Parts: sequence; structure tokens; C-alpha cells
Amino acid sequence: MTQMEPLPQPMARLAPNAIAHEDIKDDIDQFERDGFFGPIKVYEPDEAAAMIREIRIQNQKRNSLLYDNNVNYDRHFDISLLSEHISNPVICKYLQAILGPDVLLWRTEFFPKFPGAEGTEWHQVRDYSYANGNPQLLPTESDWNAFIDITVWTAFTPATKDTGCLRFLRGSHRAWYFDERKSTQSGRRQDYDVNHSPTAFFGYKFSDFLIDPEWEPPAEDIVTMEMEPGEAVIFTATCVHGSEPNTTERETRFAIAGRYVPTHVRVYPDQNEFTAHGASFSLANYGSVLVSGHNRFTHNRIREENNFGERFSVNVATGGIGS
Amino acid sequence: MISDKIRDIWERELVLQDISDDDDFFAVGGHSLIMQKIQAGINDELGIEVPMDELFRLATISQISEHIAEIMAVQ
Repeated sequence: MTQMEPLPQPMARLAPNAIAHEDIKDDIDQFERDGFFGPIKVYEPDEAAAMIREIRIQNQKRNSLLYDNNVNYDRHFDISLLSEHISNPVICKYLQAILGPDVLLWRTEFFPKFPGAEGTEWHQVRDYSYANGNPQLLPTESDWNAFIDITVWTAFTPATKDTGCLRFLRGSHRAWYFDERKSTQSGRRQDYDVNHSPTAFFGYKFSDFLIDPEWEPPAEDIVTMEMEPGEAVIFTATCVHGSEPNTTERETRFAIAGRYVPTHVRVYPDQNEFTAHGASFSLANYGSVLVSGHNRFTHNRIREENNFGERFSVNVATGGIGS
Repeated sequence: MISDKIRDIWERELVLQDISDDDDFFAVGGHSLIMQKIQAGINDELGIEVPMDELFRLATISQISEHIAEIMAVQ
């Protein structure tokens, strides 16, 4: 049996070129310590409610999709509200303070949790290779000892203990509890239907990746993140996280996650398609989106417009102490 | 009455009683999986196929009934 290489040290620091926005300094300190920070107000509750109503309508239109899939990847290409949401200035300010000035969005996902849905089991993600065995992110700066992938999860309906809010294991981004390189019998087959899967992680059984199969999260470090519509939580997926079940009878919890990397990270390295959650996606028309700063690299295809020819916004990377 | 038919379908698929004509689909606990069943019910019982995005936009019994009545009037 081939011995796997030891996992690299978790990259749990701010980027060396992170922009120190003074007004969110305490938030960023807490993020660096805990691996997550929230809630952050992005929209007023009324605004969020109006947005999600329109997003749910637009979600039913499937004629301009980048790729058809039932896990709702990358609908920022064909839902204009999401095209705008991904470069929201509040979100990008936090990203600049963690990842540095130059930031790409590489994926969005919908997360509806219907009444009666199970909680999402604890998981910890480094390079998303759990999905098909291939890393989907690859840093290219060898001396980069900082976060490479940040998720911003924005609630558009109340995210409560009853509707299935997120939960985090405080400080768990500094050690590995899961190893995505381990083999798994679940989730990678093409016949999985994420909407009808018996597992609690989108067709995967994430506990297959546990380094210590007997591991249990320490109760004192579990933080439940209840959120109002329009609030976001920002986190590194290397921080162990999951969600509560939706125990309500009639409240669907709806959130949208954006995943961001610094521009030096290669997205889907050497891949023309990828397979995840029981679906295959051609990357022929895929591109990452620059949401902040500049991109001086050529290794990622960049999309500057959505599928309707509307340009994505790029935030100027200024501000912070000394700028 | 079309609205009576629609109300029957909504009440059956939402497993709710006494839904008023102006109750909002999302406010009474509706979501896409339920709407798919409502769409199928309207198709089966009224012979009208309404696209899902229209059903989401016309999110009350009165709105969708009016829309279906207009379609039936020109058929």
C-alpha cells in the first residue's frame, strides 16, 4: 500500500499584502483566530427578501445557464443579481483584508435547505479534491503561507438553529481532522442525485475522510451561527464546519456561497471538466471573475461579462492603514 | 372557478387549509419542490402548462388564476 505524503501545514494566516482596513480590524483579528467571522451585514433584511424572491424566479429560467446542474453552481453567470452580489463592496473589503488586494471569485453555490432536511455533517476542505480526487485549487506562489480560499455565505432567509444555520468548530483551521485524499465509496459516482441522497453532505459521506475515525468535535468549541436575512459569514473551508438540520415544517433556509481565491491560485488546474456531487461540468465556457484589484497572472481564464454581456464589477483595492 | 381549482391544488400540495387568494406562496412555506407538484397539478387538472418562473412570479392564488384565465380566454 502506498503511503500518502503528510499533509502540508494549514495555511492559516492573512496574506502578506492584505489590506488593513482599520474599521474591520477587530473582525479580521477574530477571523484569523477562529477561522470564521460573522454575522456581517451585507444587505438590509427587506432588501435581502426582495433579492431572494427575484433570484428564486430567475433560478427557474434555465436557458442561459453556464452548465445545467442540480447543485446550482455558478449561477452568477445567468442571474444578474448574483452577478452583482459577488463583488459586493462590503464582502470585498473583508476579502481584501484576508486575501490581499487581488481577488478572484471562482465559484458560487446555492444552498437551499428545505423543511425536514438533514444537517450537513462536519467537514473540512483544503483544495476540494474530495469531490473527484483532483485538487480544484493550486497555489502557485511557493512562499505563500496564507489563506488560499475563502467562502462568503450570505443568508437570504433567516438562518436559525431551527432552519439549519451553519456551525463552526472554533480554531479548527490550524490542524487537519479530515484528509480529502482518502478514498471514499460515496459521492463520486455519476448516479448520485444530490436532492435524494441519503448522506448529509451532498451525496458524500464526509466522515470517510476523517483522519481519526473516532474523532468527535469538542463541544466547547462549537459555535452556532444564527443569521438574519442579508447577513453573511466569512470563513475558510479549512475551518471544520457543518449545519444544523431544518426542523421546521414550512421554512426553507436559503443562502448563497461565494468562493474566492487570491489571483495566484490556479483554479481547476489542467482540467477541462470536473465532476462533483453526481454531475459533470464542462469548463469550456467557465472563467473566474476578478472582483478586486488586478490580475497579473495568465494561468486562469477570466470572465469579464456574464452570459448576458453585463460586465462584472471590480472593486478598487485601496484603503487601509498607510494607503 | 379557476381560483377554486388552484386553491385545491395549493392546499393539497402545501398540506394547508384555508389559504387565502392573496397569501404569498413563499410566506406559507412554499419552495421549488412543492411548486413542481403544483405545476403538474395545474397541467393535469386544467390542461395548462405554466412555466416555473411564471409560477414563482405569480405567487398568489389570485395572480396565477388571473393568468390562467387569460390563457384560456385566447385558446
